[in-house]
Amino acid sequence: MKDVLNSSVFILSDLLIWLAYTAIPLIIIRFITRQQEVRFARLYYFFAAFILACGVAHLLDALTYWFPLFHLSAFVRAITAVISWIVVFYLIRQLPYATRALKARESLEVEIAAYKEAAASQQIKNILAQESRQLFKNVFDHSPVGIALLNPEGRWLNVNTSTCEMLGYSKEELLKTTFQNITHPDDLAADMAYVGQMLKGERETYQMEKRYIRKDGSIVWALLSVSLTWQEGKPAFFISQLTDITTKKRLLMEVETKNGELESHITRINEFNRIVAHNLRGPASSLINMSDYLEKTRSEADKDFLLSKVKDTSMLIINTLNDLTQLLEIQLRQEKQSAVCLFRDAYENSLHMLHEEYKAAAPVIDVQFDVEEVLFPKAYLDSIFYNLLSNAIKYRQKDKTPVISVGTTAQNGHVILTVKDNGIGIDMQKHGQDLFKYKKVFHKGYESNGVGLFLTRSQVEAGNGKIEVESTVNEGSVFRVYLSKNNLV
Amino acid sequence: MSYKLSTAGIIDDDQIYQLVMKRAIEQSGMVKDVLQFYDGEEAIKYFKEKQQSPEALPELILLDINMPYMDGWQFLDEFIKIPFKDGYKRTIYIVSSSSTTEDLNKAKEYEIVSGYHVKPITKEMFEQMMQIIGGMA
Repeated sequence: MKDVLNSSVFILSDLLIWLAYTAIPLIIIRFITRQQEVRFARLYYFFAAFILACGVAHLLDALTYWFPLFHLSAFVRAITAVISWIVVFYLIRQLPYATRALKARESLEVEIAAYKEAAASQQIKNILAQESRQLFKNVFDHSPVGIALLNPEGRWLNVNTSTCEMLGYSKEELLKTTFQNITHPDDLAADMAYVGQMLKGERETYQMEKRYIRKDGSIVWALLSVSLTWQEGKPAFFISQLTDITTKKRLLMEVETKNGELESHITRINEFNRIVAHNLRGPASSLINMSDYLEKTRSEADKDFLLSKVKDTSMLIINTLNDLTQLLEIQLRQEKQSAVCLFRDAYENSLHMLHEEYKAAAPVIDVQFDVEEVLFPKAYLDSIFYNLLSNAIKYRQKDKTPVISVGTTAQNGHVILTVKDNGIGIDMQKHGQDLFKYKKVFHKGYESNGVGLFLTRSQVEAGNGKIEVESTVNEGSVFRVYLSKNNLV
Repeated sequence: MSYKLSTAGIIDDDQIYQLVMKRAIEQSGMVKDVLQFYDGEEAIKYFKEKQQSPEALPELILLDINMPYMDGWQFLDEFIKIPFKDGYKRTIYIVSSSSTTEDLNKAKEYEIVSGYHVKPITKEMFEQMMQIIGGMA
């Protein structure tokens, strides 16, 4: 009985030890597989195998009570012995590393601290990056300056609200087009030249004043600053900043216009002064000198001669005063409203007035009005035609049939009225500067008072145009009247 | 009566001025002959023709500015270019109705111009001119 009890305790203990020795390696393996990084992992496996083997030995001991398994038992014990020695050798080999790992604990803590710090600073960096992204987004979204990203071909990639407001397009509309499409044609070449230089790497940034055409067709002036971002040696995208300078430009242009007006006013006043000084003071002075002389002289012949000149001289003064009045009225454009005038009407009216001269000269006149009408004071247009045609007929070459061509063409938004003749021409070197001045005459033996071209010029200028002449002596003259595009119908 | 100058030339398109001035010069008794030209072109033609005969050329020239065909300035520009025979002495006065700064300044640009008188010519101005002529001989 006592024997049975002993045996039972023996067997039970062996089985319990086996169970425990099986459980322990399972726990170890589970521990290892759960860990992300395990040092000396192999040692754990060997140790687990060793314990497992010990457990199997105890199991076999227990089983031997019922079955004589000596052979198997001996084999398991041999394996256990081998594994246990492997563990021993492995332990000896790993010992220096293990001690070092233990010793490194302090430095590990330092490492951990450093790691924590790095992590913290990375976090700060992330926050900063996040903030700078936010900052950029805020600037981009709320900047009063238009900011836009464009690809190297000029397509809009991203635009902010200010850009949209400035150009009058929605973001979606802009992203479907290119900057070239909405740039004012006159400014495109300059912009493209800069873009070309940027893409070639010849310049890093550029700045220019340019015009865009808004969706509603109106023009907006922008100060454009552009930089180019490169990625992997290739142009990636343009960053453009657009400031609306329309108001500034408009003011500047107003000032320039006013300045121009002021300058032309001064020019006119000077001209007026010149006419008074020479053409009014001249004959008036003569009358004074004459009356002084008449008081003293006894020569009847001189008296008769001088008295015969009184009327002419007084007429000269009156005529000059009339011309000045006319000039002032032209310059002040009194009661001369622009109207739609047909060039052909003006031509025919003036030809009608030149009936006598036309009959005497029998000119060949070629007429071609490519532009048919213009917005201009009608009386002036008639007068311009009259004066130019009258000159073309008057200053003809004696031995030639006068050939005159009259025509209009459109050029750069201007209407050019041309009157060309094959007459005696004008020595431009001598008289070029005086051609349109008051009472300047250039040809002896012709009835001319030097007022026609002077008034013609004033009339053209009153309509914001200009007049030019090209002439060669004995070949003929070409008068060109440029009517400003505001006068286009 | 001995003349201070042999010839004076008046270049002016104003016939009244021409006559009155001619008579005034004659009456001063200082100048023997007065030549009259009615525009710059006519005058310059004469000077060119007589450039080698100083005795035929006026020693005093009274020049108007505003004239047809060739004005006073154009006359001066041409006159300067004429290669006169050595020994031709002349004094040029501008006599114009213009007292604008533009003309007064322009006259100063011509070294050859000795003075500028504004019309109408007064008795005092004329006497002053004659005095200078008296000093020229």
